[in-house]
Amino acid sequence: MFNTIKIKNLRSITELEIDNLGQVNLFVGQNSHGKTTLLESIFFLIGATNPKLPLNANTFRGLPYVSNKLWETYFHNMDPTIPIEIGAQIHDTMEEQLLLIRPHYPKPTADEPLSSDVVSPSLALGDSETTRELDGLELTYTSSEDPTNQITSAVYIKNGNLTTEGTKERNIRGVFINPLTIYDWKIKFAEVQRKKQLDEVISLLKEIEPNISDLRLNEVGLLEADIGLPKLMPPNLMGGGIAKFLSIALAMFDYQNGIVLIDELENGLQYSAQHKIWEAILNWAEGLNVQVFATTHSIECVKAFSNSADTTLFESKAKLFRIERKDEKFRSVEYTKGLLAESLESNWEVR
Amino acid sequence: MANPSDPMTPIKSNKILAVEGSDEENFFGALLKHINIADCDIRKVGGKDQFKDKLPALKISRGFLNADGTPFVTHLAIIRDENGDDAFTSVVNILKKEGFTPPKKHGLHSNGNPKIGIFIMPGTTIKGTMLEDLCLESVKDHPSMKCVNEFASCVCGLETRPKSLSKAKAQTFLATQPDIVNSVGLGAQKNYWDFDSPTLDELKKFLSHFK
Repeated sequence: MFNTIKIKNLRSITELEIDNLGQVNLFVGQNSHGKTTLLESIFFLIGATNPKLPLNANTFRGLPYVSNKLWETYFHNMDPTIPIEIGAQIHDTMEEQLLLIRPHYPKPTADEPLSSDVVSPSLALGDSETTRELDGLELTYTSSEDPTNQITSAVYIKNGNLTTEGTKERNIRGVFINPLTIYDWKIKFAEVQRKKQLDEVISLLKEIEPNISDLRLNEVGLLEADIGLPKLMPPNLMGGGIAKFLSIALAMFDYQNGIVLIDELENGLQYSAQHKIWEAILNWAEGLNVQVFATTHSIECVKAFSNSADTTLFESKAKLFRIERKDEKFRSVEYTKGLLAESLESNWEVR
Repeated sequence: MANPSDPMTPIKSNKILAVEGSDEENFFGALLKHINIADCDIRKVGGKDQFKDKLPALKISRGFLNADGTPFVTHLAIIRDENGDDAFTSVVNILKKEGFTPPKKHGLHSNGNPKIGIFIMPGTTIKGTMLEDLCLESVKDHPSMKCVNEFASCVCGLETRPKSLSKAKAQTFLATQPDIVNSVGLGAQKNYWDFDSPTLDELKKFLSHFK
């Protein structure tokens, strides 16, 4: 479980550090204050040796393209000369993890003529890279548990094809749920079936839809639910936030002992459903040992979070953080459960 | 731009008056208007049991500090009833715990950042322990007070007396007015208390730091 996250030069964020992270963390703040970027930073660190993750993050942002024009979008002010740093401390072990993301440039071939920049004595060798077109990202991951083992991977476009190198499996696992991926059930559901955990998922879903008795993939890969009607029904059509609930349930089940990132949790959920979903998230997080990071703009979502945290066993582990930004300076403000309840009772703005 | 239907209120003024509850919020809203202080954010922080929890929440609410962490609020004044406890010391201890610089005495403002003022009701110039005492003192020469005092004498002879004679008298005074309201704060908004009475001079001097 992450205790601290430090971010430098990722997208809009110049520098931001968040300490005392809880098991379930809700980030609030005004638009363009870096909430989604914060989730992305955790996503990148979880998959620090999977260089394709940044591409997934851009897809979630509505940029599903493979183009050299987009590599700069990860860097602050679109300036790839300043590397991205994402650091974290693990709660129990105090292990420090660090991911550096640098621009990747094409390697000059042996017969490629050197540019005049490179041979100019007035320029350092490193500057020569800025004269070539950025073709990808290079990710370097280190951990204080094994500081000599530096894992470097890269993703880049070579001869028009997306290429990766150095990809390695890591222990920590996580998933990013956003409005664009909410209906992406097929693979996760198949995994639940493979692990024979379907009954447990259905049991969890009964908290919001008591009539649900079965879930199955049909012949074309569409997920369908039995809620006592004459025919099975796709959860997409069941309303009541069941689609969001199912996405989160499958994610938390599939990523036990890992991390679940949820952008815009309130999206598509009525207030009463938000209360139920928070109760479920808080209970699942404890039961499945999942650390959750979510964002919201909605005060109803914040209130549901606060009220739900009240009724669960581990209220001290549920935290809200407001991200504040003035020009290029960012900071986080931590709310414990008690402070959040006092603020909401007084209608003092927490977002 | 704020959503007009959104009940959440970010701090808008760099001067905050922290009072106990809605009654005080209404009373001081009317008094500040009377003395031409418009730029002030009145916040309810509860009495002796709630202040210790409300102050840390107020300190981190949006707008108390600028977004970059630099101070926005320049003045924070706390007004509380005496209520039988050592209210001044209690408020000072809570302020110190939260890192604020309290003033040395009741009625003064510190030189901290923000400047902190503490006023314990009803002030040092009159007897009593609460806002109602101040309100009643301001109208002590009002013709209605004869009726109010006779009522007070009468109820004092009862076997079961009101827990707070000041509150009972204040309610009785309000009941003598043309349009009856049931709280001293609403009474202030109806101009039933005499804001020009010298009784309020100590309080008005304290509030003048907000000008």
